Amino acid sequence: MSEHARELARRLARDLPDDEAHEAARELAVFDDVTRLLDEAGARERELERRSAESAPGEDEALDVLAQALADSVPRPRASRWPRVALAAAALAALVFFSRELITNSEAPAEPVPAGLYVGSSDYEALQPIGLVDELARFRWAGPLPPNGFFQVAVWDADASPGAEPLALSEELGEPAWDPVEDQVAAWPAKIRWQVRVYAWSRTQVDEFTVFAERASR
Amino acid sequence: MNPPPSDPRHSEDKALVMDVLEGQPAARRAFVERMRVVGRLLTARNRRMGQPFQDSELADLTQETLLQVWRKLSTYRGEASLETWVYRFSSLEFASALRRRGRQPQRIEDVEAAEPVQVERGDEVAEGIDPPFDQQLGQLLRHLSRREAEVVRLVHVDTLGLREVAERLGISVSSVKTHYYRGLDKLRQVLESRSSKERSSGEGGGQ
Repeated sequence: MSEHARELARRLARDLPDDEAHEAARELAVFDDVTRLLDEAGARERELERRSAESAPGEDEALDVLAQALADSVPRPRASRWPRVALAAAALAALVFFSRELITNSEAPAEPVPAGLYVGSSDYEALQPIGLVDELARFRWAGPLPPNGFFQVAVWDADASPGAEPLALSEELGEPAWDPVEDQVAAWPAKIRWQVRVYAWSRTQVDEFTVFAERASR
Repeated sequence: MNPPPSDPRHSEDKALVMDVLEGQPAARRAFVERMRVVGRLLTARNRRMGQPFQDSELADLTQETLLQVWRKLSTYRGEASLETWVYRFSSLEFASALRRRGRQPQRIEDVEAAEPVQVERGDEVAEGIDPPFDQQLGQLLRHLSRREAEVVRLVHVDTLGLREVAERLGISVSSVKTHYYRGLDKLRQVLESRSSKERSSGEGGGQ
């Protein structure tokens, strides 16, 4: 109620002469009692109204949609529900891949990374560069940008350990595209792992996918 | 005017929302369960207004409101409980839905008056004002004109800001303020009169 309290104070300050400050204070206190009484009654009214309905049509289904939106971190209409099976499969693939990569990196020299391997959300599709390519430039992908959210691209050496600092990190991107500067790309190894991270407006990361690419000319 | 004491539940709610935004599964589950209130509020509002929406429409409206809550979740500051916060969304979404259907949002009370619903209500309410569930609120509003009561209710029950009230009723903000403060002033007089009577009867009883 702070807005109304401020409004009330401004009104009283305008309407009453300065020499009636005492009266103004008294009235303000009385109005405060009134607004407090109304606030309390309002709270009871809301509670009673809520209790007057013990269930709601489509309640569980609507909550499922909310839960899904929370899981995706992108509000979605009921018609375009997340394909749960594909999501679970992608998550499992990512888990298997990164577990294997972690074991590989810690116990033995890294095996050649299969160029073009794609790990990530089925909601996004990497367009380029994927696999064996002429140039590691013009990063493109397709998929929804959360309202007021952004994409960010990170690039690593393909053989870098998980958790390693990226070679490059893009700025916040409003489009599903990134064009790194030429000098930057020239310094990269031939094989890279690039990852697109998807952020909601709240700057919470809501999705990501990872792609391997290899420059053929090097 | 002393600031209202802070309710620790609100800071707990704020912490819950922060956890939800950070993607903590347990927080998300708890949040979803608490949002059950949205559908029930909309259902209650629908009943109260004479069932303008069918069940299927109400289910869609619940879903839209929940998504709206989710979109705005990062704006929750913990100044009120989550239930109070979403009550406001529910109220606004319900009014918007009526508007989209070509009804008259600024005259919601006409819908109520045209199709009264029998619910448990206080019995001391002025004619023309939709009786609230809470008896004390009903007793207070009966001292006000229909418009004053409507504005006071939107401010204190639906927790709308003055601009939102103006948009809802299709009148200017200054008109809202006029109705609001006039209503407050009447209630102030009522309270003063009551306490004066109580003092008199107390003094009389003591002699």
